[in-house]
Amino acid sequence: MSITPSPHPKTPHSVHQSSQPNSTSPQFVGFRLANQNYIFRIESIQEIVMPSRVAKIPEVPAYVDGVSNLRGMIIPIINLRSLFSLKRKPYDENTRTIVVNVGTRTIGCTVDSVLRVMRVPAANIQPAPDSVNGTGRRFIAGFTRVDEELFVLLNADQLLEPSNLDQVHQASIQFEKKS
Amino acid sequence: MSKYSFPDDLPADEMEDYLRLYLDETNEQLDSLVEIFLQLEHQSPTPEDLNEAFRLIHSIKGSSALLGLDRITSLTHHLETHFERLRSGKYKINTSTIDVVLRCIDFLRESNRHLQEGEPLGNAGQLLEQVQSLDHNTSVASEPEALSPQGQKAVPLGRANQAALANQAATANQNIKQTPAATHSLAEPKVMFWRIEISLGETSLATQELARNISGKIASLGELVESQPSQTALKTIESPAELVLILKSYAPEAEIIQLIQARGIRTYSVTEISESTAAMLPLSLNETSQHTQNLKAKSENSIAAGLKEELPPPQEAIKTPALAKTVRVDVDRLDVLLNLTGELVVNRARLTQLAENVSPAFHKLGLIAHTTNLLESIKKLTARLTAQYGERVNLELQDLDSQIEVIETQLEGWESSRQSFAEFTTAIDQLTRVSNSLQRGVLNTRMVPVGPLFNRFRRSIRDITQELKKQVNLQIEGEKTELDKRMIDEIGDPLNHLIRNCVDHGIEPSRTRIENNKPEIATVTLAASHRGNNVFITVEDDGGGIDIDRVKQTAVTRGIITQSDADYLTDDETAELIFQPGFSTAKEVSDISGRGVGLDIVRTKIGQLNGTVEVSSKSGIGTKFIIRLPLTLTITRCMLFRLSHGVLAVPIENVREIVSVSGYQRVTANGRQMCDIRGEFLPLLSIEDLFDFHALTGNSDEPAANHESLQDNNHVVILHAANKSLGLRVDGLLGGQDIVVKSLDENFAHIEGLGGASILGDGSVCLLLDAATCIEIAAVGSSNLRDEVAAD
Repeated sequence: MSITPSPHPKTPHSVHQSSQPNSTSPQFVGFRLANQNYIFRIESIQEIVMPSRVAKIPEVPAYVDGVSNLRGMIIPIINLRSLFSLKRKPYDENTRTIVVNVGTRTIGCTVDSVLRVMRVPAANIQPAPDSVNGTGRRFIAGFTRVDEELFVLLNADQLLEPSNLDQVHQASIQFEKKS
Repeated sequence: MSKYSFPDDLPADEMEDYLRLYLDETNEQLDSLVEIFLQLEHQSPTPEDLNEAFRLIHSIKGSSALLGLDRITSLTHHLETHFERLRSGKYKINTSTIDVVLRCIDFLRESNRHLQEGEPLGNAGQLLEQVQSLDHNTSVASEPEALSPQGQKAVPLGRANQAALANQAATANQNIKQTPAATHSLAEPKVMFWRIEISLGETSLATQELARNISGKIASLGELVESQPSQTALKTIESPAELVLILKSYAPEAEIIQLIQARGIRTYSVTEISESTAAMLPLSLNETSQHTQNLKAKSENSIAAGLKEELPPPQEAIKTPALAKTVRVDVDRLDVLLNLTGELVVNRARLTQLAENVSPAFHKLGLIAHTTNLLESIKKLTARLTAQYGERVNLELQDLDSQIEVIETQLEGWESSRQSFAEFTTAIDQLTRVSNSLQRGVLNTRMVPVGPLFNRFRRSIRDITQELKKQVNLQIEGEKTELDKRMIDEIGDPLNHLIRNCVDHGIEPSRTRIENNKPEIATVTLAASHRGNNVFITVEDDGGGIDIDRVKQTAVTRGIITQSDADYLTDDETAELIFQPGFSTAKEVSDISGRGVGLDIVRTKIGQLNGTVEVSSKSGIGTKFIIRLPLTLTITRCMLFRLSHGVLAVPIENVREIVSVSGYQRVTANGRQMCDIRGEFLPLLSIEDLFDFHALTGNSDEPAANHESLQDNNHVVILHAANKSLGLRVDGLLGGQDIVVKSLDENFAHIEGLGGASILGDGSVCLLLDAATCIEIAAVGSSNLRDEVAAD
């Protein structure tokens, strides 16, 4: 997963000329992992909750923290840091669980912090640069720049689909080796 | 279901609802039909049986016509015609009739399955011919009176015979509806023609559906001579304002009226007309509009007449509640309800826990008393001080006094909230009672008697016995025993397998039976009973029992056990072998059983329902399979254990015992720990041996510490499943609890060895152990280890 794009990606100039967001622009939820900003489309998100107690489950990859109780429903909790092969970090007061609907499943993922909900005009979303490999492309929908900050748009439902998780994890390892 | 395209242009989802209703209804009706027919095979038909069968076929015909399922309609129509004749005594029922009818029922069942899957319906052409040919074969023209179910006197053919038929039908109608209102017409039953006008305008609901529904129902009373709009047109007209029908029927007026009223229609007219009028009555549109006028006038009249006309006659008022006795509910809806109730119970537990946490603060009466005393003495002191020193301290004392006043007011508030808290706990108690009864209630709604399921096996017994030329009588006991609906749905196949197995393998050929002084007709007993939190279903035959030597021999040839193992097996252990995959003692593979996939599948299936199946056999006396099932699938009684990773729940039936194992009881053999439980050596494992918990090794000494604590701990729970046991170390015991089992795969993936998860009273999640799989995992682990040792 190319989560550490070069400081000046090839995107650009267009950003400055691009349209201003208006009330019809799609909405995104921004969140932070390590020193990188990401966004999910708001439609793919069910809710954002404070992390509740997580029960460890066996026989699962290390990026699955365990399962948690979401109002009577048992949902798996994926540690996004761990999934992206970043160093784990203990939960703190900023840690949030983003609950995502993946097909018929409901899956939670923990992030360092949730930034805000933002509107980004579709024209301002740049496709993923060539440096993102084939697997990565499925999960990274593009990049955008809001207030001079770079955000990576992730396909939440593809990213967290249980059958894809291993691929995501592998992809991020490959990328780290390359860089 | 969605792939099935409906002949008309109703919204597909609405049609699906009707289809589902149709499937539910007809499946039940088919069950009842089979039951009747199997009875008819042994005893001569009573008029009630024939009427009931006729009614069932008729109503399937009616509802299939409503859905435009033409193939089913035409088949049931011919069946109905045939039954009409059987009922009138014109034809006699015989085995070939029963065979054909049973085959028709099979076809209808098959059709229902096709409809459910959204597949096209099969062709009934051949069956149709068979049904029609029945009419030629079963005619008993020679002696019609002898077979007339009601033993009527012989009457010359022709008119009189028709009268007899009419009489029959009227009686039938009475039998079906049992309307008190119908009784008066019994004396002089004759075909009557009714003109029925119904105004549909006033109902806002799907008028088209209503119109079709009502015309269908009216048609079911007799023969629809004329209909305006026509039945086919009804499918296309969006919302017909009114419906005019000419009905030829034996039904009394009251019955027709009641039928109309039951559908909430208040503006209608039912008039008797002569046959000639009916025949020459093409319902022209002009006439219809005129009727509309009439109807309008009528409806105004009825309003003017007040409630009088709107109230159904008292006779019918008595009847109506009977209609509302049962409601069909989708099982999924009940599942949702049950889950929510489970949540309620969990939340209630949480509330109780919180209240308990708060209660010490409120229950200490002493605190308030102490503070009040303290304030009193301070007040006295200030009073004395004021008296003694007067002006000098006055200001400060006044300040103190006002502070005391504030505290006193707060104390009052404290006291009143203490009282409210007492009420609060009462309220929680109340909630507990209500939520417990609610849970029980919801569980009860899912409970259905096993009777219908059991009765279905009469049919399979009939088929197998005919095929195998064995004579078997199926005896059913405890059919009122109730079981969760889901469970009933799942248990059918395994039971069928066991029953087939009993007949095929258990019961000896008649000759052998006679030689052994046994009754020639064998008995298979299917019994259900309720004990504690379990339902026991037994399938028992009075056959030869399990041939222990042959089982051993087969198990050895199939490589399931070695010869040396076989020599040490007890009879019970040997009998257990029949549940092993790939085991079958039948000398040749038969269609009925003996493919060697049977009994292990039965065990797996029942295991999935959290149940167990055991076998006991006495040579020469018979074999008995005992199935134990929990009352419900979703709630399981568990023991909770504390582990370093959290809480683990184990179903209570898998906990053999909990022991404290001290150092000298532990033995290490082949690098594996064993524990000595009263002379029995069981493998001793910790949860980490079973599962890879991916210890989040932030600091590397954590797992070591865990291991240390495990070593010190002596609690061992002995898991037991499928006659095997295993010792599992736990950190602590938390007691028993009913838990609502939730699946892990619903939102994530299945984890081998876990049966699911549940939410505890404090909102945390606990994992549910699947003991049988764990024991397997442990066994595999040990054999791997043994291989490694051998390789070394």
